[in-house]
Amino acid sequence: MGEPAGWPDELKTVLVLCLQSSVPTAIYWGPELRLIYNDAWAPIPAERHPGAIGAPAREVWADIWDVVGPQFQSVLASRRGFSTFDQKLMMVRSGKAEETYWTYSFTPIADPAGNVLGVLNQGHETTDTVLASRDQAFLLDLGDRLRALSDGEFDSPAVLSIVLGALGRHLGLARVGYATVDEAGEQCTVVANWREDQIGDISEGTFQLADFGEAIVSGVREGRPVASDDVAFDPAHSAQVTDAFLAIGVRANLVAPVMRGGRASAIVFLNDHEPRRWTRRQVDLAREAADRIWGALERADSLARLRVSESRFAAIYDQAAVGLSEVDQDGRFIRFNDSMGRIIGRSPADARTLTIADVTHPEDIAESRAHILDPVRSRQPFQLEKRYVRPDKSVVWAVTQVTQLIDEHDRPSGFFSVTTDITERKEEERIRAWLLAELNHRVKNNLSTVQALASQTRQSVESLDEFEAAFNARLMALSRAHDLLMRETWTSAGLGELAAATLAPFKLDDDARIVIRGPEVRFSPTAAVTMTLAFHELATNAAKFGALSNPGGRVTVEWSIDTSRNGGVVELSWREAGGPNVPPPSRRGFGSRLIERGAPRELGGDVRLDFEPDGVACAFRLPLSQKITAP
Amino acid sequence: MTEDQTTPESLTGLKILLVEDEAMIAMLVEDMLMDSGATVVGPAGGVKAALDAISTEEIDGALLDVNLGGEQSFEVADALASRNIPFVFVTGYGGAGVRERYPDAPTLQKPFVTSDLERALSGLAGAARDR
Repeated sequence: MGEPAGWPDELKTVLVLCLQSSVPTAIYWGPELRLIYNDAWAPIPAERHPGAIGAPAREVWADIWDVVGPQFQSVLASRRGFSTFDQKLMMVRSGKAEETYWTYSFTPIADPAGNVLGVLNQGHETTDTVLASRDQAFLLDLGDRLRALSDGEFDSPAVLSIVLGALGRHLGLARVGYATVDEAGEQCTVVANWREDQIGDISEGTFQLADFGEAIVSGVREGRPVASDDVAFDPAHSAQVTDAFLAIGVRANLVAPVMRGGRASAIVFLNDHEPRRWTRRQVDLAREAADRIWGALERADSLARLRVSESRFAAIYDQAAVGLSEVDQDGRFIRFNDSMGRIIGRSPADARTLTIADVTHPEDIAESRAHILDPVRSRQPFQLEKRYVRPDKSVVWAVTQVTQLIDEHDRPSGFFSVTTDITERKEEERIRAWLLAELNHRVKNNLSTVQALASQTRQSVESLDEFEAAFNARLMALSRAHDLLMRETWTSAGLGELAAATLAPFKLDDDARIVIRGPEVRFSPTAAVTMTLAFHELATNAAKFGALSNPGGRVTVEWSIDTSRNGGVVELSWREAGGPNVPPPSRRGFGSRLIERGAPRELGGDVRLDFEPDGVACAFRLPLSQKITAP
Repeated sequence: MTEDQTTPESLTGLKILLVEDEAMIAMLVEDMLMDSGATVVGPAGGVKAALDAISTEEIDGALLDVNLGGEQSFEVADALASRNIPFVFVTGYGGAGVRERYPDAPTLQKPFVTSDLERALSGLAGAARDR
């Protein structure tokens, strides 16, 4: 460029301006565009300073000449200024081409004749701003893509695939992965990795952190990201550590721990198959991505738990033995389970078409409604005993436990009910009540019969001793009839058993004394009591005066069914033989009255009672009826 | 003396139909009615016998057991009511339904004694004498 004294005025003037400016300013002068610059500009060529001073532009900027060369040419040719914003320049720094961005201007310096003598350059680097806003856009886009997942799609594999892939592509890396770290902080297991073709898949691999250097172990322990631009030439790396990285195809490595509860529970690792200079910005981005992954995985986890809990609830809901149902505030069904469907005789598929009133017994609708409409009562869980009516008109008794549902705005939104079919219990209660009433009636009726026995016995005795003996004997006969009836749950008693039980005390251990024979005939409870007392009176009389009063006497009780008669008639005879001669009684007492008048009136038919010399003969002709039946 | 106090043979001259199927109880009540001076029609052991008695006999009142061995005596009560013959139900076993069918009919719960019977029938006696 020659001595300054020989410089043209234009150069002198611009040079003063340049050297006094605090803005990075350079002058490219002469046909070769030789470089002069101020202190502010000095960092721009980096390691090329100060060698760049006085050197031609084409030599200084050989690495970016493809871009800036034509820009210089156009300024020289057009003699007009040129400016550019965030211009990308692949600038070699520390021996490696780097993506850099610049905002700068070229201003022609011309002589009065209009010839361009040089170019004034002012500008500054915008790499950080450009890349930071790209990172920002990347993170926004990542958030959008995660949000685009539906709850059903939001699981760990999907989250990892999206975040790892996006990060790898954004930073132009060979591999990005996520690994969980064990509690001791000693080993990690790769859950997933995104990768380009030039590097291998290490998912599901487990690695000892110590194999990759002490820096990583302490970084993971302390929650610090650890970067290595080139694992092969990292002063912190032993040969074994270098080999461990190379074995998995790594030359540049960055690990960002995910801290939770004071320890690294996972790491995000960024690998490249070539050395690369990690920037502060990339380290920060890796940490940010690690946090995002953690947050997203937690959400995926809680969604997964929710899905499990929902499916468990669905299983309980579907299979519960009790009826479960949900209705809205107006009593319209939202859903009910199969058990509830069985109770009300409807299909759960039709739930939406039904209201509580549709399935409730008309007489119970008012009470259901009163409970639901009462704002105070309905806030507390309440229990209703009510009837449902099925489509086939059958009625089901149920107990239903109702709980008010409250929505997220703390407003009542409907009711949840647990319903149990208590029809059987209701039926049992009804039967128990009926049995008690029945028991009361029967006891009262029996007391009346005992009262009648006492009254009749009093009329036929002459002393209290005689009364006691006769009354007790009749009471025992009544009791034996009850035993027989109880055996058949108070439905009926067989004629043969009645006769045998009543006459048993008179046999005196001689089975031949009393013969009982006839086909199966059954007597209703009250008829059985009357027949028992009739047999008892005949036997008592025989024991006093007739065939049972001496050892040789015999009694034959015999019956047959004459089916030729209208509806059938039981012909029953009591015959005595071998007893002493019996004179006819002077007056007829209770026994005769019961046998001759009471029995035929109660049982229908007629009875003939004859006092013959060899004993009493009694013939009953009893029509089959509700009271007397034959199979 | 209060009105509902009874005197011996307070039912004297009244013909009372006794409808009772159980022989022993029929005999008991028959004796009670006779002791009180009444003339007993029956005892009828079933609905048919009772209806026959109502149509053939002049009666002043009736004592009706509700349950007649499985059939109920309401048909008899209806026949009596249609003839304006007063009656008293006797309830024991199987007396359900009386209140529903005849809410105003006097009832006598088994077991009872003669004075209960006379008290229940004394109203009928007055009604019969007024006829």
